[in-house]
Amino acid sequence: MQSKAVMSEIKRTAASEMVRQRNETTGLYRHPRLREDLIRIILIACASISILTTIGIVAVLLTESSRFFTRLAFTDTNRSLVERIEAEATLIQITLEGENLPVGSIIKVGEEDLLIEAAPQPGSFQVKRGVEGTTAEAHPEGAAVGLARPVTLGEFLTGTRWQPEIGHFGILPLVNSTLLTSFLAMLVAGPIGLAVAIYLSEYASARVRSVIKPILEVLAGIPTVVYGYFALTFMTTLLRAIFNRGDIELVGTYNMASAGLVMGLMIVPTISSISEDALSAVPRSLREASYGLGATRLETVVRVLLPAALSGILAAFILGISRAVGETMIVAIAAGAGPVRNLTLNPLEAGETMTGHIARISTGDVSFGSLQYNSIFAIGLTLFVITLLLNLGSNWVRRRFREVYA
Amino acid sequence: MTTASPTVQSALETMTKADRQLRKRNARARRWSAIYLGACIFALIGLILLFGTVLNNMFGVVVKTYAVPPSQLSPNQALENLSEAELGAILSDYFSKQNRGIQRARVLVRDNLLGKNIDPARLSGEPISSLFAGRDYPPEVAELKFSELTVPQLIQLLESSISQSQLYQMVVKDVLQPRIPQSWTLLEGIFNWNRIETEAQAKYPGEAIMWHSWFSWAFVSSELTSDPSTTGLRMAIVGTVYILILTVLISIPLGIGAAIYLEEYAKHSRFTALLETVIRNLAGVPSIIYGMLGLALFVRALGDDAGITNGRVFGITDTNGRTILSASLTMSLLILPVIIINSQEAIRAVPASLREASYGIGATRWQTVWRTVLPAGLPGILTGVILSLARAVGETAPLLVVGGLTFLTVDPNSIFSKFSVIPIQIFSWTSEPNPQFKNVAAAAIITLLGILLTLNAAAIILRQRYSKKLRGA
Repeated sequence: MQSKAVMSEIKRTAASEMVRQRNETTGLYRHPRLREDLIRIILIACASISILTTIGIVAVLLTESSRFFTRLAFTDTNRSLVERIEAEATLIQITLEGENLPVGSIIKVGEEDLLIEAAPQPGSFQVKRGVEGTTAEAHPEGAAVGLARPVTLGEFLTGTRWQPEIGHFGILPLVNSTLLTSFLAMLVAGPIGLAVAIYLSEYASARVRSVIKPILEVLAGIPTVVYGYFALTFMTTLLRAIFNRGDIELVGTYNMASAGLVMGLMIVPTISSISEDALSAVPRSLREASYGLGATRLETVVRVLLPAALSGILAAFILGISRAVGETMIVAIAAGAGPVRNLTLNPLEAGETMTGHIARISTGDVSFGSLQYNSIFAIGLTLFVITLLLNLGSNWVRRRFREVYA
Repeated sequence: MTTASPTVQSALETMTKADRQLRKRNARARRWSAIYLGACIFALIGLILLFGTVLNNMFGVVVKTYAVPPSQLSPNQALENLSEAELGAILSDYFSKQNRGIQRARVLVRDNLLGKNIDPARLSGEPISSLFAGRDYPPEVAELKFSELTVPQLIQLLESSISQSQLYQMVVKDVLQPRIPQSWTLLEGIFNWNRIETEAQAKYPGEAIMWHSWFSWAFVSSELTSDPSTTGLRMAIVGTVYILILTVLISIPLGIGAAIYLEEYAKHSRFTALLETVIRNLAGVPSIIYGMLGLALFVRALGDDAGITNGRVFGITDTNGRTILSASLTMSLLILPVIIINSQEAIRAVPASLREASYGIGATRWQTVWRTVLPAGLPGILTGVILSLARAVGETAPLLVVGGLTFLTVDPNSIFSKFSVIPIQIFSWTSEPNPQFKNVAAAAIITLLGILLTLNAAAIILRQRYSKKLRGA
């Protein structure tokens, strides 16, 4: 038994030695796979950058927004210093009316943060100077006193004012403008894009197609800043000429209507090209069956093709909304800048969208770590979540409702 | 006249009814086909209006005023035809009469002949013969110092070194100082010439009104100023070109590498499926989000904190993280998904027989990719790359967030310079209250569209060559 095992071992060794010798002489064995493996690793690294980018986007938005929700915001208390205080003073007098200042809270005077340690008498406070990384300094009589509080998620999502400078952090006005301009855009782009798709896929001759297709490609290729210019110089002028009669000024220089309508023109190619693909994917046999029953072209389109291509068309619409929500330059130029105080549904008024606000705040030199710097990331996160949901929804609709023809 | 039997009667009635209904249905079908065509025409009208608006603002009528009228300087001859000596005489005459004219003449000579950044100690200490070593200068000033020169001597230095057309430009810029206080659009000029004339006569008596193109070589080549009649696009064009080249260098290897991996190497695994999903979703992320990624990652973390993108580790100290490098990195991430998707399609289009032949003669996977797949797919890949670059050139929002400036005083000269790009200039000029900046913005738009057109034309030519080659094969 044992000698048999030894024999087979010897045989095996001899065989592998022979193979090794043959490989060495022919050069086959000497091909190291090192280079191939290295290249493979480099290529995987290239492909992984996309995953890293995604992780980077999510990480950046989450960390900066979490800083927004943990840092202190200050609201005006309507109270002020009764007398001038020096940098060393720890007992300060504050006027009586206005909001309550509990012990242990942080107040802001000028650029300095102060911690209230005790309140011996009403209006008189024992404070620790220069907390939260600020420096103690002298403040004049009558300087306003702000009260620190954290920004809550509930306030962020349901508040109806967005003015970070004075302590209002409700994202709703920005979302409202975004939805309003996107709605207007889809009002233009939805019907027009679908009609163009139907015309291209069912009606147009090859010659007409060769005219319309390039038009759509050019529309899709024009930079959005040019659309913004068009919205401000042409569409706004047009709307003002239509709606402003005499002294009544219904339409200002900046309004959501012009931005929304021009955005619609921009989105037409997106919707038409995806819808057209969906319509062309409907098998010929369905059309022929419909015509065979004596249906007109319109009836074939409405009763047969549109239901069959519904998933693709819906997906196109959702993608169009996603593009409108994420579009920046048109709204930054034409829709208006500056804080919106009321939630308006009137598209002729000015309104700042989420993207428009991010663009405006970051154009000025935002200092890193300031409240405004963190706040645009909270808005960016909201925007990212909305567009991601829309994009995923578009894919889901396309898969879920796709008619499969064998 | 015979009456038809009731059955025939009802049959006839049914037929007419059907006929009427058919006619109605056909009419409806025709109406809707007109509506569908109308939608296409709407898109066309939108496009025409867009270009029309830009052109309408780019050409127009202007009032031009001069600090010194040209007819006063040269009554008999057009100014651009004067000789160097005559132009030099105008300059030295003008600077001699002006208050602080000698300082302006010195600045003119220094900026044009010695460079703005010349060491002030050299300028005040060395004689002309060493400052202008190896160049032409009048012999009598050789031993003088720069600050001892008189106005005519300074102008002589200019005359001996620069051409007649440059001298003419100086006369225009420093002596004539043309200003455009008011402008009208092309359509206003065509239809309301008389009204413009009376309006101009009332406001600017004696000044000429003329047709004017805001887009010109002077506009493309001069530096940014805050005055719409003299401002130019040069710094933004330089910035755009810098960022474009750097983006190409970063994103093409990464994008094509990723596409090769996905098409030629990857097996159907969970990792590959995740990659495909991630890339498709990244393509749908709004561009401004990429800007925020760039702001936090490249400008702040890698720039101001780590000192890489602002050049601190390379010994450059005068910039913050808002540099051309940060902008290019951001742009690369932005167009990477598009490049990957386009390249994947081009690689997929390479016939499988080519690969099989390559493997058949014993090539390794990389040899097959490098010698067979890439050369065959390259035109298609390049077409996709060029189209995604065209997208990058027009992007504004991410660069705005990363810190593109709306005003620059010097050309960017390294990847660590502050920057502006053409779209950001368009944005900033469009937002200016002064209406003439709308004209300037229109001229910048034409420049941008010209660049995009060139890129797209290159892509189309590549595509056509490619399809010819495939047909020939």
